[in-house]
Amino acid sequence: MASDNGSEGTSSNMSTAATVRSDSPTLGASVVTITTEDLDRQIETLRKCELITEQEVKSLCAKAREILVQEGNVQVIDSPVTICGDIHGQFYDLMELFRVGGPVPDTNYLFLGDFVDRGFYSVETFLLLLALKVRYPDRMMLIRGNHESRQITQVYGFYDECQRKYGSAAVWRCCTEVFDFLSLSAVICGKVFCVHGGLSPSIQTLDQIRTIDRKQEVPHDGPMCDLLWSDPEDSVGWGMSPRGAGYLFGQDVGFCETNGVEMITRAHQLVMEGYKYHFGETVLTVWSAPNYCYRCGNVAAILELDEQLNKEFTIFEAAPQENRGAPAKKPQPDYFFMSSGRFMDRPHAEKKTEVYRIYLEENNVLETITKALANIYGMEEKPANPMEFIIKVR
Amino acid sequence: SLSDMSEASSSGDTGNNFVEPKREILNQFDLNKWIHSKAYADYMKLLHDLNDSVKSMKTTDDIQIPGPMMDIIYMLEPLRKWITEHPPEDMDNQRYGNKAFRRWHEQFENSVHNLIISILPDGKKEAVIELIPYLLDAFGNATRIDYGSGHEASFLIFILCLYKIGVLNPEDHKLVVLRFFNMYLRICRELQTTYKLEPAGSRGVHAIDDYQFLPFLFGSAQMIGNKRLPVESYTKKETCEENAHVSLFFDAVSFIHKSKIGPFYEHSNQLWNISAVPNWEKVNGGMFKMYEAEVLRKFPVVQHLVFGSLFDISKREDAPSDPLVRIVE
Repeated sequence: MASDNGSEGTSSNMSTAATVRSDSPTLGASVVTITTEDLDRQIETLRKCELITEQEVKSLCAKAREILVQEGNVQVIDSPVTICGDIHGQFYDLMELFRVGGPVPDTNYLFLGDFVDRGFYSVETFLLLLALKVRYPDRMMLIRGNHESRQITQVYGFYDECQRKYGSAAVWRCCTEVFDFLSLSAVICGKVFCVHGGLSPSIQTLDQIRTIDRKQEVPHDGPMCDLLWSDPEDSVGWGMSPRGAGYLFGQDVGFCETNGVEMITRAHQLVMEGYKYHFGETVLTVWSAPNYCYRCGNVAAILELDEQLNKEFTIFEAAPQENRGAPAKKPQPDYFFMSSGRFMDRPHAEKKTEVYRIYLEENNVLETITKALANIYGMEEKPANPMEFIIKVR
Repeated sequence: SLSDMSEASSSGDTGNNFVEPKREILNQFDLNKWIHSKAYADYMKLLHDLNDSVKSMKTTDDIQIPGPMMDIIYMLEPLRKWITEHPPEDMDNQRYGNKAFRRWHEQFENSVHNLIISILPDGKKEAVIELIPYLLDAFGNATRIDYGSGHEASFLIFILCLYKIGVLNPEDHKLVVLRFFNMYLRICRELQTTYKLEPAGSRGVHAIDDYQFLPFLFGSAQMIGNKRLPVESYTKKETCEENAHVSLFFDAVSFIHKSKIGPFYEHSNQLWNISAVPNWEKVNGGMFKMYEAEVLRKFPVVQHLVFGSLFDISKREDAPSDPLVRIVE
């Protein structure tokens, strides 16, 4: 289904060795082999909404990056394909989606991003999609949403979920590295342009998208940001977005005509009926998270395009409430410190500081390091609280 | 009458140079500027003062309302009337929120100047230029047809400014929480329900609630010392309904029980977790930490805040002088 993009773009898209930062948690894991059996086993585990190990996550992410790095900013896709919108960690509703849309690899899928945050099961959701991508790279296409970002996931829950489920931020760091490699958009049979958010005033042509260096955190502004953040609006031209990122774009911006596409398919905005056309039928919003936030009462939709690009929408509701059993009550210790006096019960931040302090003092380096850092940062006086200073600059 | 209200003794702080507030938090790095500002400290102090004033108080307790306060509390009454004047439009081809909300908001925008002027005494009317943006931004966003914790914060900043210019005073704390803020909550809930406002920037299961935070904060203070209703009792829908009048906390959880679908432990997982906290003091203390960490220190929320002479972005004296510390995680 997916075509190889070997001939396109600038050299920044062509780095064959996945250039890994020296502090990457997956350093040294790039020459990893995962067997098909491993993958199938991991997929089975994740399908039951259970976690794979941290080590398995690292290998999976390393392998995923090897595959994703070869995809272009505008990934070329053939039909038939089923297009899906935001999932936001609603794992059991994703299972509903596969039930109505057909299992991978029988059905080809394109997910438009926003796999994580807000929902209960962002970890299982993203890792399952990633495992399916690695297992069936030509049947599962994933592009980046505005929530596939370090900054956003630290606000909207994915980071917290990783901490809670794995006891550290390692899995979060692996996943956010994978986010950097996700493609920005796709075009189906040259006719349907797919992106998470919308358009950018800096971008008139698909070729301009191809020149973006996407392998970075989502920027605060600029074309890459706009593609993931913008919204269509019943107006003309470009407007300020009330979201604080991206733009509002009107009917007349001329993107389809310029690029010879018939339609722009995107997600990013909640739709009561699951999908909605704007501007006649030139822009389509698809939303795949039913009963969003357990309150919105919306249905979800997926769009199936057949070989001739005929459209068929499938609507589905939230998965039935199976008795999954009430979880244990775990008030966040950083806020609701239950104070048993034991070290292990102290808030996370306090424990971390204490461990650093003991280490530095036992190695007689607290004084030396404080002075060195103060020098580097051009401070004239020694900081009053060395531990606070060190933690902050760390 | 309002002109009889005595000047606040510290009104010299505010000076007479009211300005139109503007944004100051433009990127992640500006968070430190915000946290070290006078505005931040003033806001937190206000929350603590308001919180302490309603400890162990029932919402339905008798509180005497002096004349001027009556005007302030009921300044919001027209907002409720306008909801009936702009009923939801046929959903037809609409995406989610009802566009009639934009009509309601337009009427609000056209009236907000006079609404505020009507509660300002002579000699303080110039403050309206600083007050308008905060009140205007307290009821959701008209373009996106949504509502979130930043809008609630905007209303509290409006209240803070009223204190700063002496229109509100410390003896009004109880009324501000249990009558004025309560009135605000009721109007917000009516807007949320009538126009199906999207939960703006909701943190989903990782937050206490999609729309509000402060009723849980003030409301938990109200519950301190209450022997009849231990913390865990709010997980039950019936208990909340029967006791909604006791505290803003139970009132808010009752609204959640009514609006959300599914088991409580799933749709309100944070509240489920918090119900294990042994007493209301700890809940209240934890709420403050949570509010600072999850609302005030989050860029997507506070990027929209605007600052002027009353809500002042300038650095406070006791703020640490860290020229270097710009942490990017």
